Amino acid sequence: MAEPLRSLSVPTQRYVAAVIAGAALVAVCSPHRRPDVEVALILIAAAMSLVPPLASPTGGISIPNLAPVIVIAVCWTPSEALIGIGVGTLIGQRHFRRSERWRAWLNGAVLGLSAMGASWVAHRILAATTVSIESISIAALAALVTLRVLNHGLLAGYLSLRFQRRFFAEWHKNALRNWSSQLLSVPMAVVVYALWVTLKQGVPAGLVLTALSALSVPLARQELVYYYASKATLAATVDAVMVALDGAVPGSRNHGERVSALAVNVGQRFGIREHRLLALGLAGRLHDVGILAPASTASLSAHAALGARMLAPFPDPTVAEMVRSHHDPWRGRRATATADAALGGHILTAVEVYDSARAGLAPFAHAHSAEETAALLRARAGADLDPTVVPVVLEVVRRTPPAAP
Amino acid sequence: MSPLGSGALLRFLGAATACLVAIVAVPLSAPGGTGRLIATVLVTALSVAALEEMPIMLPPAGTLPMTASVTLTTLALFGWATVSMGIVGAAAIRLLARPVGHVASRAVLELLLVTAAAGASAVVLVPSVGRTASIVIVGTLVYGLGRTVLAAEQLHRRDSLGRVRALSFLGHATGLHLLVFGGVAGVVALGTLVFPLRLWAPGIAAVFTLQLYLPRIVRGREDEHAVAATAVLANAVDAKDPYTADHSADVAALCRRLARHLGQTEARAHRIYLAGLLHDVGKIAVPDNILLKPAPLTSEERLVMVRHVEDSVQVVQSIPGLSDVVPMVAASHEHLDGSGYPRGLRGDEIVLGARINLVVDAYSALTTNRPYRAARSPEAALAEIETHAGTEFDPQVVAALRLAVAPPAASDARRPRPRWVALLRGLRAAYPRPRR
Repeated sequence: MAEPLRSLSVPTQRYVAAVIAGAALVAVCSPHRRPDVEVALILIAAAMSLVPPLASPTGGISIPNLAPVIVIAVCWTPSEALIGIGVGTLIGQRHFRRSERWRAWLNGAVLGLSAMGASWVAHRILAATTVSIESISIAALAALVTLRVLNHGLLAGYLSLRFQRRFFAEWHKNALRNWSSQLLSVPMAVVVYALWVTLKQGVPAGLVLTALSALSVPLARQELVYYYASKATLAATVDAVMVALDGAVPGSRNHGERVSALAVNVGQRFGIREHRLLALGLAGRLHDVGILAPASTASLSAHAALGARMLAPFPDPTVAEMVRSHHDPWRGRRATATADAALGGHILTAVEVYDSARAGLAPFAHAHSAEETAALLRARAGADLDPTVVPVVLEVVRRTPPAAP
Repeated sequence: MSPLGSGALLRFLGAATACLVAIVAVPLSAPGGTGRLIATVLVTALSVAALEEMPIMLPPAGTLPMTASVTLTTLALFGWATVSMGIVGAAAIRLLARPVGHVASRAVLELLLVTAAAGASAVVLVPSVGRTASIVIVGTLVYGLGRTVLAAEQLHRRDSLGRVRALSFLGHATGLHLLVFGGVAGVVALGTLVFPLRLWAPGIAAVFTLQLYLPRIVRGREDEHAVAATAVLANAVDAKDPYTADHSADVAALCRRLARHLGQTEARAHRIYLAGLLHDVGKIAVPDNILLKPAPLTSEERLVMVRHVEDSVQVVQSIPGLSDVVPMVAASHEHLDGSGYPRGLRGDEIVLGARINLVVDAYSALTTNRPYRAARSPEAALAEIETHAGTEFDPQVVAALRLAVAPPAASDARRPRPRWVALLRGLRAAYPRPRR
């Protein structure tokens, strides 16, 4: 999809032009002492652009290039980082990835400026302290923080002008995304710099080490490809189970999808952690899988137990546990966020009752209106539904009316 | 999504905090003093514990812990005593969250390997690279060899994989990673050699390894989930028929063993395993009254049964990442002589995965109770299948089935004692210990 610069709004065009001009101005005015280093860094950064980005299923793209950029920021001077990464990214994106010209220029300017800032901060710290493992670590950490803040600040300006997103919300959200794994991009810079200092081999050794660290980009990307493929396989396999379920009891597929979405939404309100939310979503979709067994018609709890047995292969045992308990009456134990599995079970129970009542599924004879269902849930809260969960369910439902059953 | 599980993340943060505490405590002690030693051991222990909690997935062998990078770093920089204390400390930390047996066996294994590495690197010196680098190189080789051999033995015991095959598979699967761990240890040990406060080094090695392997760990977890979802799908199929509980899982496991006996690669054997799980997935669409009918089927009902193969293919086709399994599922009811369904393929037109599947499915059906007849003994089932070898079944696969099924029956009985035990007992009987 070609997007010429002219198709953007005028303020966006001006912003893009200003960022590029700013970067160019800084690049021209900054001192250039080692042109050989700059050329080498340009080559390394352009080579990193050979690795195409990956569309991530959660939206946006992912390029695992953070670690080598921090290595460059720590090892080389600010102006070298700006020229190397800025021009390298521009050349790489323009010639290897065939991006539009303005986009390659913008990405180069943004990444180059952020790397320059990171490098400046890291070098201030390194100059102010005697070189030791601690000072290198702190410098690399500071470089990471600066890089993230600058990069996402500049990009947030572009996004908020172009798509009318809120500037600070966008900046804050993106700069903090995946912060735990971002932190893990620091050690490579520490190791590379420490090794370089120890070897005392001068500029060529440093450039070789930097180039080696850039090798992590294609390796990490390959793993990401496998990761997304496995994710797609998982989703499609669960889908196949849902189709089978729908064949056995028509309508149970949509019921499962709705329960899953609502349960995850409620779980988020309770602050359940991300990987437990995944388990909760799976349990929500698959909670009625037990009805596939002919013996499950005997009782409500029988299909829950059968379903849990079928879900036993999942490496996370909470999936099966939540499904097993999804028809258990609440027994007076308050749910806390620390006991994720128990809380997930309570949420699933309440959400299940809510959706069954709304859609008129067993054990309810007919579809209830939203008000009737709310009254029903309130009446049962504290009796057989968790009283801390019910208000949250009703609150979430009130805010996001689900699709008509 | 945070790719680190939150438990792992908390442990990781805890380790970082403890490292900071250790670093603050260190200047209070003289260099080379007890305080410095305690701090080093603490950092090593936390690093080893963190890495033990986040192993790489290596299907089907299980997992490979990445502890080598830390233990080899500590070994090169601080010596055997420190690293041993670190491993014991890591076991103590892990006991907070894990059962004793699991932790102890891992710790003993690690101690053994590190001790072997230390011994070898004390004896063998690689010339002209310096002492530290020499320890890392020799240590990596000994450690890697030891771990591969021991893991192969475990695989041999657990999955009845031939020893040589297990070793060669693991050599491929783990060799590169163990070299990377050694490389990390070498880089970190050399890089921190000149700095006065080197006790950070094991921690840096741990975090650096994590950085390199985080995408792989995350991918491994997702992989595991995807395979688990396939097993759930198979369970859902089996649940329709009370007589076939665990049928798909059993068939799949046996398919994998046969594939190994027939010399397939481990990756190929895994695909055949998945095909075994999914071979009857279309049965989900077959009505219960036909599926559960306690008598042979009428021709009309047979037609419905036949159509389930197409349904199976459709389901498997809808799952991306299983496209190579589709031909195996599509041909899983074809006979060697062309008398099978739905397409009447013959001989080599049928892929190996499907030929294996047919034999194993027949064996499994013969050895389980059915509404209209009782289960047969394994031996009777084998004999029955062998009468059709060459017509319905591939004779090679049938031969492999006999090999794969017969040994466990023998090994269920007590193993014969090794000859040296008998010899010793004979000696003891001949020369009874004199009583005081």
